[in-house]
Amino acid sequence: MIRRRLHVSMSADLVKEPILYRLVKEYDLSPNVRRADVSATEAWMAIELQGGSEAHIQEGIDYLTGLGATVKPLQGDVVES
Amino acid sequence: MSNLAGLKCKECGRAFDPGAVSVCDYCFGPLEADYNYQRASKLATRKKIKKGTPDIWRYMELLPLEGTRPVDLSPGFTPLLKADNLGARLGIKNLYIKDETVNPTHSVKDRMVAVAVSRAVELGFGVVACASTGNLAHSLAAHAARAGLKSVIFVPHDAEPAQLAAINIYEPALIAVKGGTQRINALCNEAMARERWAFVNINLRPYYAEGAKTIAFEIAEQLGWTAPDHIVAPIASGSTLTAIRKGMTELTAVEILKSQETKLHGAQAEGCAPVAAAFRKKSELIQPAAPATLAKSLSIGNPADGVYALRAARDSGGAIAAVSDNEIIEGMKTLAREEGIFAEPAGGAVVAALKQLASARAFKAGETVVAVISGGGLKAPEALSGRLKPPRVIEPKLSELESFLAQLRRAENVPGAVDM
Repeated sequence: MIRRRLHVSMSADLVKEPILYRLVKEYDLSPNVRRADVSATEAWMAIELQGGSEAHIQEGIDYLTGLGATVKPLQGDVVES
Repeated sequence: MSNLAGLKCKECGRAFDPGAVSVCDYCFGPLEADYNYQRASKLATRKKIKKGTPDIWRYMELLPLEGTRPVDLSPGFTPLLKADNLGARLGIKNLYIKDETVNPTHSVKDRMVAVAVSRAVELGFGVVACASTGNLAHSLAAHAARAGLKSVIFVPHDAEPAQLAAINIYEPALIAVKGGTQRINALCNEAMARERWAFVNINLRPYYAEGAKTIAFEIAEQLGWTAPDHIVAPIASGSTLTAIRKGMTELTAVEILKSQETKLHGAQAEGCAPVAAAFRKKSELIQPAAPATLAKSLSIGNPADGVYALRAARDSGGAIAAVSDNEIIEGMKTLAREEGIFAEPAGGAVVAALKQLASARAFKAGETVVAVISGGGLKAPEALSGRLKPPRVIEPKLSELESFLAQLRRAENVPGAVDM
């Protein structure tokens, strides 16, 4: 199994979307939320996404970005100045 | 005996052993070094610090090492210069420059790498590694050479030639990776999972970050153990501003300072300003940026400590400025012309940010302002390509020289001979 740690953020209008449910049911991924915050204007979560392959996980990420969410590696850029 | 108590999650506060680990496996928050401050307060006294060596090791009581001899190129204790010329130009009476260009490899990274490589030795690593666009790689290659360690350094395939030469002279395993930052990030993470390497800015990040807080210690000490009213520093990964905040806070924790209310300000390039954008929007979310600026040392699109740099500025009452490439170049020129310091573009960004903040009346009359100039300009000369007046080429004849000097006098409206 492949695991990716991701930071997913979105505007408030997306919080109505059951994204975790869809990641599980439609993309056969296992999202594990470790930290999150939802406010009146924006929402974010730190998740570990587990799936059968990199391509599999990428499909889930594409679903999220397709909705308008921003998905980035949790640790930030490894490349520094 | 060390004052290092262990590592602590910045988000949930869980404690961890001080090993090669940087992320909390419960909440995924970043880890930071934690100290026994009560014990440290008895050992880290003004008197003892004053007797220390003129480098970062004078603050050993608040560094995350456990007692072995550190890997030492004597970084830090850089000059804090009163910048009267630049101050007059910007309308800031008490302006100081913390000149990091004079570090062993000419950038602030030496402070961080010295601590991280020393910790790598303590933890028994034989290989140190990093991925960098220049300054970090240069510093790591030098410190690894000094420590007798092997170094593996990943750079973007289009890294600046001057930076590559400065890295390569130390003969590291230098790997130029094709593709963008995302690809290099992924490759480094895979390599780290496979090899037992000390990636100084990844699995040793809690120690690496600690080196930068010595800037705060030095500034306070060089100002006669007082906290300045403002510090302005560049933001790339965000670790420097975050560490300066930790350093200022620790000075009160160990009772060297009774209090401090330093406002921390950041400078980013408009072409890569994810933290400045979040500051402007009053958001906690750092949206990644695709870097498009000549300031390569500020080209970090998804800054690892971005949110902590944002909080450092916001919580202290500071601000984060975004400045254009033209303003950066003008800032570099102004700093050189007014104070004799040749900075990398990040330094130009700080000068431009000073100007922006002064215009916005962020500094009250008489307040002390310290600008952190993070690295030297000789490492990034490409940024100035076509931006400076070329030299006048003449034949070796006095008549040609006189003709040129006459033109110079007319242009500058200086009567009589030009004093060359």
